Amino acid sequence: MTSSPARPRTGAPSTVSVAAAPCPVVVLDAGGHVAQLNDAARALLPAARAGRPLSSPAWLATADGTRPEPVDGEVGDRSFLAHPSVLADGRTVWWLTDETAYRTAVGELEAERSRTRFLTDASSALLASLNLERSMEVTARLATEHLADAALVIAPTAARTLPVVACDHRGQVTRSTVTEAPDTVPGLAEALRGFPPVPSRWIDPATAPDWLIPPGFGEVGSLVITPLPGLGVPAGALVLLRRVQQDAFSEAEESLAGLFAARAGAAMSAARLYAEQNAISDTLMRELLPPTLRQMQGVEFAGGYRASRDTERIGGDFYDVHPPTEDSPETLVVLGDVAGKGLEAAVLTGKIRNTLHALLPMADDHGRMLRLVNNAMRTSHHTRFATLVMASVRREEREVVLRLTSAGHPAPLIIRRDGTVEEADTRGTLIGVLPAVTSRTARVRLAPGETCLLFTDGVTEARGGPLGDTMFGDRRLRRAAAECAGMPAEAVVERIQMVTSQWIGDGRHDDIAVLAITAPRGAHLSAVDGATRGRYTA
Amino acid sequence: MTPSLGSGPHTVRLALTGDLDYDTCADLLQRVGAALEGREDIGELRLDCGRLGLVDSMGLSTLLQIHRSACRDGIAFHLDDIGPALRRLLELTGTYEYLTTAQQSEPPAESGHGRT
Repeated sequence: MTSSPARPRTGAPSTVSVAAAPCPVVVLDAGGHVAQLNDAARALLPAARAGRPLSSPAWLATADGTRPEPVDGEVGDRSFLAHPSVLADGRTVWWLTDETAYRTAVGELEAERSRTRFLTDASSALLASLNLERSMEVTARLATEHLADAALVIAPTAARTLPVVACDHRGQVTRSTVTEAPDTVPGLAEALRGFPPVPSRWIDPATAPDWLIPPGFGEVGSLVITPLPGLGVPAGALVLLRRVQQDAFSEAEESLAGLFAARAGAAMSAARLYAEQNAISDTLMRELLPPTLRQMQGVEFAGGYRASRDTERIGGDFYDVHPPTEDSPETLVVLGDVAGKGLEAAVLTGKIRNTLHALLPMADDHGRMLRLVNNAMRTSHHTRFATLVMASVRREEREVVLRLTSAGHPAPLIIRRDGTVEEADTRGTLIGVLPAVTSRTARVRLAPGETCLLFTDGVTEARGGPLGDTMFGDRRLRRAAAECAGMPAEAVVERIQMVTSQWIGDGRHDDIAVLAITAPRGAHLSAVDGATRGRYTA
Repeated sequence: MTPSLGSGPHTVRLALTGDLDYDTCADLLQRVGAALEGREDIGELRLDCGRLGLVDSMGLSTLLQIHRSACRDGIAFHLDDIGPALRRLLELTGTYEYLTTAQQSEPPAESGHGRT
């Protein structure tokens, strides 16, 4: 007997016999009895006998042979697709093709796609936050949703307690601190150390301490500890738990857990570094914040500081006012600017301020003090430098006497009562690089209402104006200073700050520091004109 | 900032153009380092400042750094064609003579170790 899968056409060059077909072929009659089967089909379906009803596989036995649509199902551990050819006598020829490899490939592709989807989703969820606690929570929740019945994230810590975030089988996230050494769990201490890198480690659930298992979880079937590799630093460990009823972790799942751990670790260490960086910036900012100034020893002091808006660039402007001590009878004002930005500039700023403070007793000789500071600051590591202005201030009757010394810094401006603005005649070498420094000190007297203005180049180099990129410059500063004639120190600083702010507009700018030293007008007790000395109250 | 390179038998010449500031100073340092790298025969380094734009404090720090390294390696350092703005900055900071006169050997810094 011969038949063919397609309806034979007249003059068809060949027909195919069931026996010779390269795939298993089963011919069923209208009543579901096996009419014929070839050797391949016999091998595949050993229970099938000609003349008897086909009992298995059920998906083929119950398939509707009159419809020209293929059906599929499994035989043993293989997948088959059965194409029907309906014959004229009502019998159906089922041609079975083995689809196992195809199905496996499709299944793997789908699994791979879902793994990729999971990892992509995990990355975006993890990177959405730079908060460490939040990163730990997201890690625990994602691990519970995709990898295990429950998950714990343990952060490395220098303290004796372990910060733990757990997500239990109900999806409930809890944070806790476990007061137990990590070495009570096999493999945990190694995973937390992060180096050398250790592979995921299976541990016997029976040896797991109680705190590892969420309340109400039931019996633990499998438990694996995976290190979270950070960016050069350990980020913690991920503990995955499965219940007894669940399959243990397959190789693919374990490698997926590893890939997930790498992403979670990177996110957690990024969050940690960010937090540390922030803490450092905060500490430095607090330390570098200039002091609030007031009237001291009958002299007005006012300072203004506007930090650069680039928060990651801690600037190097600073000022200090040191009141007189028994070692130094004058008030010493220092305003300066350290080259560069960021941590190094901040460290140098701190160093120079401390050194100057320690050298206060030397303040009667600015040149000597600057030489000592220069020696202390010089290092072969770099050529970062500071420029600064020192002002030793004392009151002499109604006037204020100043010794002003610039060390590579723009000279202070003296604002006279009549609105003339002079540049103090001082000049000197910057501090911290050259083997020897020189300086020339200027002596200036301020009559009541006159001001000495100290500033950093953040003022003169501020870019703005109508076109947005013109420097504020010396001339504009002098003009603004002239308008401050006769003003109290506070008002001078406010005025200069306001004018530069208007100039800058919304533009970027460096740190800007301004400091005014003003001889107070004071109330006269006796009738004297402003030019002669008389008694006064401050 | 784009230094262009030209060197005679014992002189390395770099022409600096554009601004020398916080953002570009590392680049200059690197290029100067590359130009001097592995060459024992160089006796002179000349930086042509004719087309140099703005120089900020980090830019000046970089010039001082290059000067210091050159001194250490026994290479004569010259700034050519210093414009008014740069001259003003060097004079204000008291570094004009230091950077433009024939160098004397620099005594070692008091603190810190190692080459920079």
